[in-house]
Amino acid sequence: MIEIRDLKKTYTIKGSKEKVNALRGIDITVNDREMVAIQGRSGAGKSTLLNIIGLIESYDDGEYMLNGIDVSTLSDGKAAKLRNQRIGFVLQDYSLLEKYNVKTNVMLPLLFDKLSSREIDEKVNRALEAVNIDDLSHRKVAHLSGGQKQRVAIARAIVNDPSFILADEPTGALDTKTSGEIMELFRSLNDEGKTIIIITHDPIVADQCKRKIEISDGRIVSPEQVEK
Amino acid sequence: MKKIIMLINNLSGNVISSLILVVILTYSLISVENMIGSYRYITFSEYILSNESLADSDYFMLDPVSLNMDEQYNHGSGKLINKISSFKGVKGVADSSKTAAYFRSSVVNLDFYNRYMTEAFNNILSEGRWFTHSKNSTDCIEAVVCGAIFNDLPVGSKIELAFPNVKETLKVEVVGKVGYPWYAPDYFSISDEVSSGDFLVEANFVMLDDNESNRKMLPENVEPRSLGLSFFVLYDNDCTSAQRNAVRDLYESVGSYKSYDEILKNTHDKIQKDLITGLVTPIFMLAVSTILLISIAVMTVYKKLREHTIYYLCGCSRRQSFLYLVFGVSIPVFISVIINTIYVAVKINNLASGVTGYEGVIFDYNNIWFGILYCIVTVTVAMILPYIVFRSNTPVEIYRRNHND
Repeated sequence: MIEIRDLKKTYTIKGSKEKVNALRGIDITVNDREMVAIQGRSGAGKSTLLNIIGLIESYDDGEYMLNGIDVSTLSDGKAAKLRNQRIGFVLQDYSLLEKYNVKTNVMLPLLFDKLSSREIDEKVNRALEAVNIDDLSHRKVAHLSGGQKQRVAIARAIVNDPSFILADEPTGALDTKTSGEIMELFRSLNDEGKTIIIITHDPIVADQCKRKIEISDGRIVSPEQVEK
Repeated sequence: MKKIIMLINNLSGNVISSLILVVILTYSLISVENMIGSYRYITFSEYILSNESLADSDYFMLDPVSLNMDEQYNHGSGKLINKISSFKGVKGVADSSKTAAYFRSSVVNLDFYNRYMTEAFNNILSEGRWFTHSKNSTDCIEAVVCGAIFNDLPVGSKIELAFPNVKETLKVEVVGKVGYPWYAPDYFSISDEVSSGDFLVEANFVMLDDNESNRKMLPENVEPRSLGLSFFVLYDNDCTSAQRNAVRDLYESVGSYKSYDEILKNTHDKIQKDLITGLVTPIFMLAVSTILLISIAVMTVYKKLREHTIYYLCGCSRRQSFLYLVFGVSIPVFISVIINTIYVAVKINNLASGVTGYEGVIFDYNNIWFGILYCIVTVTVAMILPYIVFRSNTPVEIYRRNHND
C-alpha cells in the first residue's frame, strides 16, 4: 500500500539558481492490487511523482509510507533493496542493455539479490513465459521490435515478484496494436495481484486502468478519484 | 559467476586499452621487481662487507700476466700469500682453498676457510656458529653449509660428502648455515670498480676450517687449492703507514689493490648508478600505466553511466554501483598483479630447487610488495576522477535527464 501525504519536491536547475516546484503537496493512497493511471501534461510532475514512489528520488517535504515503511528513514542501500524486492519498473525507452541478450536483461534485478544460479534461471524462465517471450531468451535486445523490448522490460520488472509495477509511458513508443497487447499484459498482471501505477498522457491507456489521477502543475486536480 | 560476468562487463568497450595496460603494467612491475632484487643484493652485500675485521684491509688483485699459469695455480699465489703474511703490520690474508665434492649426486663447492676468512665474512652466517678451530678429535668435521641443496638440513645434522673417482667419503657435521639467498664469499672480481657485490656468489657450498687435521681427513688425491688470484689482506690495529705502504708496493708490482674504503665508495657509486639507470624505464612505464589506467577509469565511468542507471532501477545501490565500476577498472591491474605473482612464484621455485641460478639479485616474495602497493595506490588515485564524475552524474540525475517530463 502506498500512502502519500502533502508531498513536495523542488528542483534547482543545474547552472542557475532557478527553482522549479515539481510537486506542491500531493496526497495519494494506492491500495494493494489497484491499477492506477496518473495523467497529466508534460511538465506536470507525474514522472517526478513516479520516481519518488519508486524510491529513485527523494522528496523535500511531506510523508511517504510504502507498505507501512517511512521511506524518508531509508538509507541508499535499504532503498535499493526495497526497490529490488518490491518494485518493478517499465519505462517508455525500455531502459534495457541493448548489447546483451534477453535473458541477461531479465535477470538483472536478481543479480543484486542473493540467489543461486539455478534459482535465477528458474525465475527468469517463469518471467519470460509470463510475457510470452520465452523463445527469445537468447536473442540480443538490439535485434528486437519495440513491442518485444517492452515485453522484456515487463519480464524484468516482474522477475523478482514485486508488489508494485511502476510504468512510465509504457506504450509511448508503440503502435496501437502493440499498445493494446502491452496493456492487456498489465491487466493480467493486475489480476494476478500486482499493484500497477501507469503514467500516461494517453486517455486510451488511462481508460484501461481502474482508477485515474490527474496532475497539473505539481498538484492533483482530480481529487475525486473515480473508481472504475 | 553471473555477477562476475556482469562485473567484467564494466570493462567492455575498453578491452584493447585494458589489454595494453596489462602488458605495460606487467612489464613495468617485473622490471621494478628485478630492480628491487638488484638493489637488495647490493645492499645485502654491503651489509656482509660491513664488518669490523675488514675495516682496515685491502683487496688485492693479482695481475694474471704477472705470473705464469703454473705459478698462479700451484705455487705462485701460495708463495705470494705467505710473503704478504710475513710483512710487518699484516694480520693475515683472508683466503680459502677449494675443491669439489658430491652431495645428493650434485656437485658442491668444498671450501677450506682460513681463520681470517671466517673473521672477514662472519656476517654471512644466519644460523649456528663458525668453527671452533680446535683440533678435530672425531671422524666428523665441523662444517658451515650454504645453498638450496642443504636447505632442509638443520644445524647439528651429519652428512657425508663423496668425491669423484674415490671410494672414501668425508663426514661433516653442520654447525652453521648460510640462509637464503645462499650467497657465499668468493673472489672473482679483478676490476678498478670492484664493489661489495663482487665478493659473493650463489652456489652450494660446504665450508670447512682450513687446518692440518681437517685436510688429513680428506681422501688421497683430493687436494684443496687456493686460486689466490685475489684476496683481502687484513692489517693489524697498530699497522703504520710505512708498513702498509710496503705491502701496497708489493701489490703494485704484481697486480693492483683497492682499500676497503674505496670498495665501499665504489659500492655507493654503484647503488646510485644502478638506481638511476635501472629505474628510468620502469618508472616511465609505471607513469604510462598510471595515465592509461586513469583514462580507462574515466572512459569506463562515462560509457557506463546509463548502464548503471539501469542497475540502479533494478535495485543496485549507488555505493554498490561505484564498487562495481572500481572492480571493473581494477581488472587489468589485478591481472597484471596475478601474472606478476606467478612470475615471482615460478622464479622463486626455480631458484629454490636449483633449476636456475641467479647472480647479483635477491628474489623472494618481498620483492612484490612494492608492486602491490603501487597498484593499490594507482587504482585509488585512478578512481578519484571517476568518483567525481560519478558523484555529479548520479543514477538519479541520469534517470531524470532521460525520463522527467
